[in-house]
Amino acid sequence: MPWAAEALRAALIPFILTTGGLLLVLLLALAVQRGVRGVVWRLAGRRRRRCQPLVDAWIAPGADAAALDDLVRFCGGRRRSGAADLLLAPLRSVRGELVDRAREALTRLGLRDRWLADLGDRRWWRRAQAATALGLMAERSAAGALVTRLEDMYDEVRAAAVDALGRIGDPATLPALVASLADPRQQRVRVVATLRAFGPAAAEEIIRRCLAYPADRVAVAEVLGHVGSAAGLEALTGWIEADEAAVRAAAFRAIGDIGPDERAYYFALRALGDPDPDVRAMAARVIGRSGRADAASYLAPRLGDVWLVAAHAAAALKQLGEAGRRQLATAASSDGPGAELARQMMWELGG
Amino acid sequence: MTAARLTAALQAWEVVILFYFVALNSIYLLYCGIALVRLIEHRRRWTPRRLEAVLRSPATPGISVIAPAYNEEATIRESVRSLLLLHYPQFEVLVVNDGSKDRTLAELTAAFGLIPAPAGYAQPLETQPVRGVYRSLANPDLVVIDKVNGGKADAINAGINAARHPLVCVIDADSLLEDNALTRAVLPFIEDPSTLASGGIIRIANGCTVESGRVVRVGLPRSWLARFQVVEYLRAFLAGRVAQSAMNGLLIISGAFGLFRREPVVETGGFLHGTVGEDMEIVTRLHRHAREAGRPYRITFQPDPVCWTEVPEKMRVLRTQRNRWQRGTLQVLDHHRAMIGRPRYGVVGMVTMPYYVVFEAAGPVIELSGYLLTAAAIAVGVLDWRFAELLFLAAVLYGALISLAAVLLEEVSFRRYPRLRDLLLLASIGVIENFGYRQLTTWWRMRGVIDFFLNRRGWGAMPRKGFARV
Repeated sequence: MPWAAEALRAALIPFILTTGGLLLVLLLALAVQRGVRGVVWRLAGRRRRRCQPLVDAWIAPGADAAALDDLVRFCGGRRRSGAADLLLAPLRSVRGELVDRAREALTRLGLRDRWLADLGDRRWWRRAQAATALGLMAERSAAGALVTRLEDMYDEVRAAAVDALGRIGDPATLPALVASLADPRQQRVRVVATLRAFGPAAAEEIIRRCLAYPADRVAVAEVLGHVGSAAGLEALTGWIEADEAAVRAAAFRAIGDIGPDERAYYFALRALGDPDPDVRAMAARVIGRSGRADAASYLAPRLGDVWLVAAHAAAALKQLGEAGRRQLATAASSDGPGAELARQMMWELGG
Repeated sequence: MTAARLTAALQAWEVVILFYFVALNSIYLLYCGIALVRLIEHRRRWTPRRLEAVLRSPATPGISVIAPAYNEEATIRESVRSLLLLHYPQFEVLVVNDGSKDRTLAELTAAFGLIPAPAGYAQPLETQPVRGVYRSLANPDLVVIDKVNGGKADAINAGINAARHPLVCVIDADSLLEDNALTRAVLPFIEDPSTLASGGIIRIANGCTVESGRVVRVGLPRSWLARFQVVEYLRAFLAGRVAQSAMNGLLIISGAFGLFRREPVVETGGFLHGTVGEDMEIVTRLHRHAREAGRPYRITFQPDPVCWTEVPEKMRVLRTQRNRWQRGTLQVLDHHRAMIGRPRYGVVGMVTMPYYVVFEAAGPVIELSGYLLTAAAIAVGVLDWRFAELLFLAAVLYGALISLAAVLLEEVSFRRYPRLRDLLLLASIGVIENFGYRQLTTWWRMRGVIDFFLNRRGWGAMPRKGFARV
């Protein structure tokens, strides 16, 4: 291959020159960008420092309209992004009047309209930032646009829209949020957190949807457990007698998360004899959550069940006070996995 | 006639070496380009505000952190203390003392007030016998498992058996996780429920100031050997793994910090015993099982959950480590050779594994033969000095370009090195490493290849200084 060798030889010098040149450019870029970044950072800091007293004056209790006029006059134009940072920062952890004041200021600064427009921007990060900001300022007029962003092609925009809808708390958006639970592209963790923020209303909407799509019962039961509202107990108790073991287990799991009522407790006692081990295990968990001492004698035989059921029964007995402890102590003196679990629980109880 | 043939053969080999060198560096340059796009995109996502949402949600999965420890008395207190301070809603720390011969267990007992506890949990994976389970009354989330020595994979499996949570995070007991490492590492599992595993970035703690198990000031190591490794790690993680992850072709999640869904790991039989590349092996096996089952899945690399680790500053220790890595790579490629070049295994079978065969497994052989044959060609007059010099200069410049690109990736993404001086030093290391260090590591890797074919096993010791003195 002498021709190939020759070609390589010929290409070597231009290659060295190009690579060397590129190397120098990158080195220069590395050094220069540090300087530029520092200047930009300092300028932004200065702008924020200047706006800070005006923002503080406006969000202070009892501030008058003049404070807002001053804020808008001084922090408008190029300074408004700095003002936006200052106004939005406290909204991450507080609600109430402060949100109203921040919203008023942001609207006067023209940021509300810009963010509403940004929800349709072609750059996904602008859409995500706009959704987050509108959520923080609890801008109700954005709810409709945010619902459409639940279908955005970018995960981060969808997630920001979910968070924002939770902050706005408009019940009219609940059906869309609940429907997004069935969307595998959504970040379930964040949808659940948002639904929790709606409280019992979310549970009711979830159940309503489930009546239309009964196949979703397992997933819905899980979400109801996470939402943690007693409003879901009625539906969950109804699913305890479903034909599918997965639905029965999911219903007990969710009841265990929420905490059982009297009816669910008795269903759980009965389910200790269910043919499916997952159901038995989850039923044991529900009984543990009930804290009722009279259940200890029903749980003790389950220590001899398959490991999963035995583990839940042992953990449940631990929660039943003195009656549970007595059963564990008896089981701990024998052999086998159940006894090992009982010893574990006794140890955890400090006995 | 014979001289003419020799000349032709040397020239042909010259072309092969050149092609290899251009291909390797060009692939890395391509990786840098892909990584740049991904890292910029990554920075725009998951701000602290969004991490809070993950921390608050009841649906965020719990994590069992498994730290296998073998003769780690110097660093174990600091490491476990750092683990217990992690910022995550639901987690436990399982330290598995794998039959240490030093005072690892005694150190743990003294530092955390351990007392014996029963071992009431299912054990789906077979391991060496567990001698005892210990818990700390002061830290209920700490469990220490003392077992008969069985190697790192065995220790991890013992930890997986005892894990209570659906995700297991495997780390080296001598490493330090950053506060929010778990919160960030869990994100792929939240974004995409088909995620099977996720790895975080490993950064070098030598030269950094560590206080109470936390890196409080980032700096470069004083040792040149460690400095070379800083650049190597930046190249490997910020360029290589980010790009491979983008293609869903990631083959390695570092044993120092990886998050796995427990169920598929148990289903596939846990970490493999008797290999020194158990971290690469489990990832390859997860790919294989998911592909064979036709299940959609993802195995990802997250560039921002940080695990700090101490790297060798002594030649002898580094040599052992590189030898082991090379043997590990070869073992895994050999074990899963049926996947190589098979379209059934997608990107992994068609792209990543062939890349590992050519550039990682055969790399030292080709590179070393390149050095030797170039010398031979000069000696017999086939290659003139001037051309050899230009060739070397081109190799150095191209290599330096890749290193500088990796440093730039660090700068546009995470900017962990606050001083410009450090950055420039890192950039210069990209040039300096070509004069000795690269050849040395190539030789050590070559020894790894030889040891693999001679069936030599074992990990070799890696003594630690301890972070407190870093």
